[in-house]
Amino acid sequence: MIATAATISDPVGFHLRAAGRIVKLAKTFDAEVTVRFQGRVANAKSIMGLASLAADCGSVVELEIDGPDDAAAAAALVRLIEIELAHPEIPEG
Amino acid sequence: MRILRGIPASPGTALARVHHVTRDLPVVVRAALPASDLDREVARLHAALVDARAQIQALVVRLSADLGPEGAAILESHLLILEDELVVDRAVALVRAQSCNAEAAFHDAVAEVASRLLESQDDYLRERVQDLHDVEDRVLRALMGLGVGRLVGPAAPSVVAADDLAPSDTAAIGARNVLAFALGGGSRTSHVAILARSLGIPAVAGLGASVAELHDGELVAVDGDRGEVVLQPDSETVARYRQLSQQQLTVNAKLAHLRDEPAITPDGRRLEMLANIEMPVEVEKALACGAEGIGLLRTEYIYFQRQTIPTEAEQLEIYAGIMRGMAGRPVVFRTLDVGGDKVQRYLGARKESNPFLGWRGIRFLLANRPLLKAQLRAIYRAAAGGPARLMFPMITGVEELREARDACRECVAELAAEGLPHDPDLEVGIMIETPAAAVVADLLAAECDFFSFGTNDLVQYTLAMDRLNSRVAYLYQPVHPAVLRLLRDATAAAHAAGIRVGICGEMASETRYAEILLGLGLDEVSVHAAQLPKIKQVVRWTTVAEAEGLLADLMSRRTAAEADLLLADYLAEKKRRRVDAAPTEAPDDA
Repeated sequence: MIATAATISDPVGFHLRAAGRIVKLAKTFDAEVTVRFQGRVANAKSIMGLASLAADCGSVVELEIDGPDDAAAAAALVRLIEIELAHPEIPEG
Repeated sequence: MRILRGIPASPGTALARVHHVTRDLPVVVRAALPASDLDREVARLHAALVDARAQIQALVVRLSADLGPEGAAILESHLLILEDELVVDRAVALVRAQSCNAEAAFHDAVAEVASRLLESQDDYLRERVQDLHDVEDRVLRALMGLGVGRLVGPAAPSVVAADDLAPSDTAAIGARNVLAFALGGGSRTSHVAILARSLGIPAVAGLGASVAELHDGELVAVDGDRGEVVLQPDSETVARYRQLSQQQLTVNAKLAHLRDEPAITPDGRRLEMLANIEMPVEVEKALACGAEGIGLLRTEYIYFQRQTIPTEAEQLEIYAGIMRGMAGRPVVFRTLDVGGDKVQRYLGARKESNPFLGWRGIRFLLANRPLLKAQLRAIYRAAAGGPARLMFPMITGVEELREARDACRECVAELAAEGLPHDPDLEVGIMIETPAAAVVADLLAAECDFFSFGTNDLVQYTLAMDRLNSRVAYLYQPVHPAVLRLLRDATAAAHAAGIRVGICGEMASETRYAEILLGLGLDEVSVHAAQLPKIKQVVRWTTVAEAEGLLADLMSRRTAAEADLLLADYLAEKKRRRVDAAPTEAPDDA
């Protein structure tokens, strides 16, 4: 299991579109990904769960990643949350 | 006669018969099932989810043409909800845990997620419960074999009344034959309110259970400015609302003859007449009112009407559409001006004890570089299709202007490197809405291409009065000597540097101040489109010498009250003289 943290770079925080991108990426891994923010917990594969964290731009979320591909999942998710979300113009797949 | 009070959700008035739309909400009947039936229930649920998915995908295709990318974005989030484990896996688990039917389990799962969203402090997130229930309705109908059950719009011009309209219903009804909306639920930020404002349809939301009193076919009056619906209006009220629509027609008739005339004084000074707009759909109205360009495009509404921040590509599509609509006329894009009365948490702004002095305007933008640059790039790219101009809000000094212009240079360099069409030389101007900017106008004028006075904020900041506080509202005094001096000096500084200066605040929209603007020597005026002909009429009746004389007289007064009195006397005298001279051409000084 990997425990890490990421600072949200999306200017609007974890709202539906950013949450949707995280969900899509998380679903490409077998690992379970849990996101914690201010005492709330969500599965990174659930759009309503992520959105209801109400995490703003600049907030730090904790990630817990557990599964056979946890190292790759951790790297990809941190990169998405910390860097790629800041570029909303990148078309989503 | 009875008056129902709600929330003013979209301005304007209407008098028409009610078209009541009710959606027969699927009634969930809870059934206890034997263990042997549960696999079949889970399979039914999955089949219903597939149906719902197909329906939404079909709507996505249809809406992308009708409502633009925003309508499609709503429905795309609905597709993700259909895949959400909090909803779907939970419903499957509930079928088994409660040995119940799929309908009851799905309903319970949605209710759990909804209650979680409703706990949020965030208005935007709470409104998303609407989306959840919209998805629920669709899945339940599929489970019960009820058909799609979507609403149809009225066949004749009507006031559409409903408890609430789901986002996809709003899209399905569209604007045809809808003169006004009267809604039991909702708020200013619900989808239907936003749609109504963008289409110029009056709307009252939040009427509660009393919306049931609006019966099909009955005549009602709707006042979207006051948030009122009048049931069984008496003859006096009917006459008043008829008069309101008549006035609109009269103004339109006057418009027709002034529309193509320039705003030129009898002694030959010309003022450029521009319109303030918020939504792309307003372009048509601006042109119909004779606008020579857009002097203020408030881009924040393009952000606020969405669930998420618009991408560069989406902004470009909207901005380029506006440029095309204006067909070669100038358009001033004001970059996102969030904060103060417009704080939206979804953009990362937090509640502040003193928002008007807080993290807003250019301060917010410079702290959110990716957001700023996406917008700047979209504006530079839209400028390839016509004379776009760029304007920064809430500037207090040269350092902010320089930092903003650095961001512009970065964007231009990137666009050039990427080989994307853009106009590297588009004009960059600033709002003069803080006393600091007005006082250092000479320094600012040396580093930008134009000024535009934002008088609402300039008056508020200069006189240290909160416009929203009724106890100090009396201090909103555009003719206060402090305000007039700032306007005069900043205008002189702009002209000394050879740059243009205009005004886009409320002060410009009021005919009583029009001669002051002329006396100041402003080059352009930007107002609500509907005000254009009235301001134009004043300009066409007033010589520059007259206007300058009036301004000098006003500036010689020591108090705002004295200046106000002088202005009132002057206007009354002028009106009397004009009525004597040409009784048939009495001005409309509304």
